[in-house]
Amino acid sequence: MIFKSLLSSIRVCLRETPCRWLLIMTLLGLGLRENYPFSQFPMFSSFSNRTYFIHLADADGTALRTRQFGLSNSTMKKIFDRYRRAELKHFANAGSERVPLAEAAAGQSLLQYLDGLAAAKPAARKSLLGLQVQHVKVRQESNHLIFETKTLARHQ
Amino acid sequence: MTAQRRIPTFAFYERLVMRLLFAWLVWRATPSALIVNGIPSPNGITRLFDLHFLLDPRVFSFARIALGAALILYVLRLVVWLALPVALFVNLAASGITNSQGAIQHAEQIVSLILLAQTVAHFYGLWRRRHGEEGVVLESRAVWWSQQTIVAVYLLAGITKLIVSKGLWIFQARWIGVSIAKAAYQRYYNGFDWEDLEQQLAVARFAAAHGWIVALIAGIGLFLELGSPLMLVNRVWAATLGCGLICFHLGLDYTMGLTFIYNQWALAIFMVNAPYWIVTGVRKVAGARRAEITSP
Repeated sequence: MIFKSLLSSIRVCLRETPCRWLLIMTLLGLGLRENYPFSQFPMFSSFSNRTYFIHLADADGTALRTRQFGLSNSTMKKIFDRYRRAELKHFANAGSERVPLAEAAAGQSLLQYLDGLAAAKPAARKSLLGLQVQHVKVRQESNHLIFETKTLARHQ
Repeated sequence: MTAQRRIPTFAFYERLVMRLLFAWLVWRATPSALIVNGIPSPNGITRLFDLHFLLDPRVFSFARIALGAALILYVLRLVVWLALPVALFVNLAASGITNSQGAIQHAEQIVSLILLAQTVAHFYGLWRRRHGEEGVVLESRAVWWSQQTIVAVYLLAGITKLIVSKGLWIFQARWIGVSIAKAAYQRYYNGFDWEDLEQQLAVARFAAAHGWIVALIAGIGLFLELGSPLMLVNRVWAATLGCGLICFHLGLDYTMGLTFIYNQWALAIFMVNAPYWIVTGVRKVAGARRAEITSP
């Protein structure tokens, strides 16, 4: 009974409101989550006092432009994150070594992905030998920013 | 209340300028080439259809030509029933593939969503016309639904911030300096612009040192997002909050390098709607002059 009246109220509300498309789009966005073109638009939806980014470096450790592989640095980080999430599940029982192991494996997977992209880009192919994935942790302590860099993976 | 009374009306010149600018926006927002490694992490439309055929450069070139032709027809209001679905498919498919690489971007979504809104509005309008609705409502509905789509994008962003941060978004915003620094370095590694990095790191250090000032500014941004439905009240609200959101984007671009240029254009086209204000201003000035001449 309550359910029926609720449904009919929703139907009347939808029929009467001049903004029903707004309602539909908002509900679709919340319900379908990240399914292009729908999204919840989660960018910067929460902040933490620590985060990280990654970048590429050549065999000598000199930083390389991510764009030379045909993708932006933020896109590369999202791809790395996808591998990282998968590897964290894979190393679920590794105890305190879980995160370092997962990040090293994700770094290797990212290098393999870049291998595929470089196949179509002669300029990028030259940079593959000794290519490194570097991980930079950023954290805020007492109103100051602190950066820590480590190498995650190296191209053989 | 009839549909005509509910849907705001837009003059012919407004609709024409909107169609012209929006067609250009769709053309710009749709990827011009697909430099990808297949479709490793299907997302959106690529979950429903196998779109590997579009990875063939010749097929994709043809799709771009079809998109161009569809957009010209859309601007001219010719065979819109065909032009809109074709434009929508090419846009969704190309952007769907680029978003199926394991990294979801949010830059072009607003354009695809408006295109989807206009397509649905057109077919819904055709159905309503069979029930006696006037033709002009069909075009005005496309604009009205486009405006509602823009509002939905901002409203969703605001709601998500509250859900994900459990209502603590403004409190957490004092750590925004960490995100600004990350964004600064990510932009730096794209093009090695040292000056840009220095400028953004200065903003990041300021934000880290003065977290509560930044939280206050972030609060204004959240207010704009959650208050975005006010843009649907009337043209003055639409233009005022539209300009406010554009300024918000310009601020984000300066501090974090987050341009969201298509959002800015969508706001300018459908919310600020400069042609209306120019024409209204000119008409008022002309009317006042005419009154001056005719008055004894």
